[in-house]
Amino acid sequence: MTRMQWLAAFIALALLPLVSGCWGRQEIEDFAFVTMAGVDLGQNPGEVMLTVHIAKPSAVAGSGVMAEERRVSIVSATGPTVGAASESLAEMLPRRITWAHSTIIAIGEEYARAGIAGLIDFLARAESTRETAVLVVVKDGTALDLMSAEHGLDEIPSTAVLGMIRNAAYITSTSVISTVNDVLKLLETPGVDVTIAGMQVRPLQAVTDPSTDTPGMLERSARSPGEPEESAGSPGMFEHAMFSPGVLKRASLSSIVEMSGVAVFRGDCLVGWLNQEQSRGFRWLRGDVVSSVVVLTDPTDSLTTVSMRAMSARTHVNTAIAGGRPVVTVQAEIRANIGDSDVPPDSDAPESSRSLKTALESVIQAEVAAMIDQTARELQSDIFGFGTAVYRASPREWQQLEGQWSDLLRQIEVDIDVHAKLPQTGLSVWGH
Amino acid sequence: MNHVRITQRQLISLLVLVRMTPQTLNCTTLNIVRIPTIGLIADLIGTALAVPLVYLVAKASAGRPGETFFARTRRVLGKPVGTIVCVWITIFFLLIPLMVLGSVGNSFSTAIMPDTPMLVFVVVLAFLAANAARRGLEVVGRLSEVLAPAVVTALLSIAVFSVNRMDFGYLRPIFLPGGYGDLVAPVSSVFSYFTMFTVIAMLLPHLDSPRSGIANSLAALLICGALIVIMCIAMISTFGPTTNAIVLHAFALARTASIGTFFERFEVLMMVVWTTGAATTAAVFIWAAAEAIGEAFSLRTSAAIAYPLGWIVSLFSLTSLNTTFRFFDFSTGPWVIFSAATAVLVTGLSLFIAIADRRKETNPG
Repeated sequence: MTRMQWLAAFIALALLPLVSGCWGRQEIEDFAFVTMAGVDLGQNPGEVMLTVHIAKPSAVAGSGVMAEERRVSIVSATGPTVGAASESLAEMLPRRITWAHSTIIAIGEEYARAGIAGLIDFLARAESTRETAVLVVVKDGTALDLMSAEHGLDEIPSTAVLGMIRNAAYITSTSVISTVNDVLKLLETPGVDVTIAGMQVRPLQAVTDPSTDTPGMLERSARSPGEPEESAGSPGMFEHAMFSPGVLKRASLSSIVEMSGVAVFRGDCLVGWLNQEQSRGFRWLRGDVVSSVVVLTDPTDSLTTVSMRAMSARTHVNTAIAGGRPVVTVQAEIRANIGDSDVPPDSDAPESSRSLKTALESVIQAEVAAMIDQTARELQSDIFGFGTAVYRASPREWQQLEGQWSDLLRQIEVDIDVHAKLPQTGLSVWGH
Repeated sequence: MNHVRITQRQLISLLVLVRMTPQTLNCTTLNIVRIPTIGLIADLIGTALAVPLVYLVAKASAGRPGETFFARTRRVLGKPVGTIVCVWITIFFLLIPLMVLGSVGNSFSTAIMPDTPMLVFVVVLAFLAANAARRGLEVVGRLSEVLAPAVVTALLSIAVFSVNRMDFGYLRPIFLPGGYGDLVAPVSSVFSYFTMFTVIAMLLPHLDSPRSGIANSLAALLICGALIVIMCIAMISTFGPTTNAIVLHAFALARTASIGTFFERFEVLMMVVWTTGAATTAAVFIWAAAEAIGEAFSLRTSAAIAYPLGWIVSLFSLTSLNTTFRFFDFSTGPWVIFSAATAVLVTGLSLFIAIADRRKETNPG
């Protein structure tokens, strides 16, 4: 070989270690996968408690059979900031935490009232967190409560919580889906405030079968079809039959998780809540209702009810400043079908349709008005983005109004105009 | 000059890769604006300003196939002045791979592999680029011909699959809070990256059909301009007012892209774009710098200089641009000034040489 060839071979060999594989490689067994995280205020002032669900691969692998252990481990750590608490978790775990699979971030109500900016900044900066993770605020409770709760259908809690939020957002339209990216944008956008889905953990009265010897365990044999639940062999019942009949071997459930409207923020601090009707009013205003059931009651006969299934909503909102206060015009177009009806079969269908439309428009108008009352006047929060509309139309005018916008919201004048269309009645024309 | 030839498609691919690589790394233009939509306006204006630059350089370079810009400079201006110009432009050509490799190393360390030292990424890519440059322009051209369509497809895919997260309302207001002065810095930043197209002066003499050099160069510019504007719209619509706080915009956009809720992790595509784009860009400019040094010092062959240049570029990358803050400071300050001055120099010289040659042709006596 010539000298140059020797030199080339030497250089190639010297560089070989650099391409032998990832320098900072990490095997999958070295990772602790966070599936859900929760943040609360710590016991000491200025402290934050971070709780995470770590997926247990051995437990997850046994899906299809009712596992006798949770699919996740729950670990908590405290620190002055979320980042410091995250580092503290490393001392409690034999593996390295990765946030890449964390789909839900739960926030305790107290922590939310103190301000979530630190949490959002941590989630935006860390390279392994994903900005598509969904946020949820726990009403009247802590994130730890939510993370300790069990779910009937899904054994990985984050999947259950995410499913509930999605159902509430897409099926009943009584909640919102707010990702980390959404909240980050809303915090930075002038003239709009943050909304996050709310959940509540309600204690459930557990039942233990006195016939078994094992304290805290409930063992039930399969029920025959048609056999009433009271004769299942246990002296009492769970309030909600969440489990299909079958062999159940687990600690008794202590709580149930349910959706609880929408958390309203001013800046990065929680200031109040919207109930389910008000939350839907917010969705009507945003014009992104894809499905929801509105129950109409005949004003002359309270026993006659019709449930309308809204299929879509399109809303146009016009914001202007008149006489130094915001004037908002809302024009909404709703398409709905009849879900079920008590209306007698001899009713005149077109006349019924007109009265249904009028009733539906009134209900929607009332929900939107109630939501604006609660949010703008009571909580002084602009979750609808009226300020953003002013900013986008006239940024210089916004610069003058920005400082007093919260006060101006109290004087907001809203004109709501709703048009409903009933294209279909389902597979029946008359009520039965 | 050797008889290496590149095709028109290879020329366009090279130029697109060269310009789009910095856009996919640290898009500093969007970091220096107060309101993200100013970045969009700056992209449009910067692209428009680059059109006459590219046209003039291409027109001057296409006039004399077989003779490089440096050879003409030395012929017209004389050896001493011509050599100084060669050295200046060589430094400009070497600054680009230095920035690109430093940016790639930072990006990988920040976004994907924080435990891996930047040295690994920079040295490996520099070696790859120097090896390709050593083999000649034809190899680099063929590489880019294969990689550029993949890179463009990857970028467009990322923009399209992020549509669900976009809110086009964030493109308003179109507002300059500080007046037209707000546009100076971002437009300069955009234009500074378009000055990379001055490498056309080195590429067009190798084009197989020199007369098509102007059209192809302008086509590459328009493709890059369109891609930059599309990516900018996608980023601003997705991230809204937080756009100017993000370090790696295209990477962050890739992380939001998904098909349904099951096909995610598009950031892997971005890693491929970074690696291929950075290696090709570095290869082109290391080759161009080697050619320039060969012309300046009348070397018989310039290919062998590629490896030492690769080492120099990686060394300076690791020592001077090894942190995000240093890169920001450099790319928004000295780089803008130096690139603008180089663009003016190359354009002015190209025109001067073209006029001088035309006069000689019309008045041979």
